[in-house]
Amino acid sequence: MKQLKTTLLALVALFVVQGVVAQTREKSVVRTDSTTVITIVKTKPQYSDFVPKHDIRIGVGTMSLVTSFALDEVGCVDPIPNFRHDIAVGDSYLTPRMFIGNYTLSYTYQNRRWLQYGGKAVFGASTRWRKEANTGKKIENQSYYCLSIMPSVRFNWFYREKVQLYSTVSIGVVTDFEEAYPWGDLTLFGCSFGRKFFGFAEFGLGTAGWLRGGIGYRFNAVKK
Amino acid sequence: MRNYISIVVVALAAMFMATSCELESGTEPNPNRANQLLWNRVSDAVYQQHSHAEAVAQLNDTLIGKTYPKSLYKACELEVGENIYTLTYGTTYSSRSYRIQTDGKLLSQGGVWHLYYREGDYMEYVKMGKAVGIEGESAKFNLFIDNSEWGNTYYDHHYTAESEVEWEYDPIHECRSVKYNTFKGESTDSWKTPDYVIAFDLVEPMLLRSSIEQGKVHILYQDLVDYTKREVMVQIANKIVTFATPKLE
Repeated sequence: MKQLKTTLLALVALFVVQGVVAQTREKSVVRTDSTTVITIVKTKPQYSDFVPKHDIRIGVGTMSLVTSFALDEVGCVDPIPNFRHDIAVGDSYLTPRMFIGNYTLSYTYQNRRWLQYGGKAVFGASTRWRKEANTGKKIENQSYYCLSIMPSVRFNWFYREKVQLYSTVSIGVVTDFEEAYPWGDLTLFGCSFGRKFFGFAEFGLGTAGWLRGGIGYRFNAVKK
Repeated sequence: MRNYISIVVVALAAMFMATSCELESGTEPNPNRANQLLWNRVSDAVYQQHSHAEAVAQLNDTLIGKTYPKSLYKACELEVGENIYTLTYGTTYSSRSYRIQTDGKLLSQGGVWHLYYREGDYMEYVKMGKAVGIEGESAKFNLFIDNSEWGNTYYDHHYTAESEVEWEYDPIHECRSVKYNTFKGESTDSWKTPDYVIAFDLVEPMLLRSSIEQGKVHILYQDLVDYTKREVMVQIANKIVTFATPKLE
């Protein structure tokens, strides 16, 4: 187990170091006179080519613990049986409670290879209706909604034009439209693949769900 | 551009299908659910009344010397006093017990027998009803039960009921065949101020052996908070229960 950990750490370090010291070669030719040609080769670090970017993403995630409290009545105590209530709703029925997903919209600004900052909004919902037994007409909406808005910071610990590995920390507010309380979201491991138009997959904890995925678009902030 | 939009739409649809799931199942549409709930309450009162009617019938037959297969006799104790006979019976799954005390007269002589109830061993027997015999009728009596003060054994509701009972031994099924020529009652929640009342009344006589085999019952439900009513006619034929179309007011 120890050996495996050491090997994994070494691999990560190798990727990171390789990215840091990656270099480009620039060759220029200078003519002095008709017989002498001097070739100058300059080596400069790749990081100086980095151009700040805007990053916009939309994604969807699975149920998370915090949204389950808002959307699935987790922790709620079953009401005391009430015959009068049972008769009052006896001519109706309930549709299944469906979770439609945690949808995320995020924007970040990247002015370093390793750093992005911005914000995101996550919206989740579970839907349920009470309908008349004879006609199927909707008579009561028992859906729940959950919205969280958080500033976020993303750390790219492996950066290439087409592949990036990262982690994200977001802290903000979550509300079920009745109460609001502070909460956060943590992307433990994220991977994006693509240059301008890309897809991403993440594993994390918090309001966006433990498993997330989506698509995004990044474009240069400053023209070269 | 169109390709990008297509990719976005397809990706969103795929993400939605991948994450949406059912959290809790729903209920089946059943136009008779409320009617069934009302009938469950009424039939519970009917069976409670029936258990006392059978005990009265058993005591009467014992006093006039009738014998039956052992399976017909409920677990009980009989005390014979001077013109006073006491039959104590109870349920094996409850701490409650019941007692019928005669006044020395048989039911066919117009006897008035009182029914008592006791909770556990710490309570005295308290009166909960009476059976009044009809002169010249050896297998008929009027039975009145009011357990509103103590509620039902299993459910949080109580009832009062009055019925005219007629019975005979059924040798084919080896049980008492009990016929209710009239049966009126009310049921509501116990332990608090009632917020609803269920009134029931026989339209056609009801026949019971081990269960309700036939009859017709009119049920009126009144919500005392919202002042709404609900009527249902319950028809039992060959143990099958059907409901007439309910009316909501």
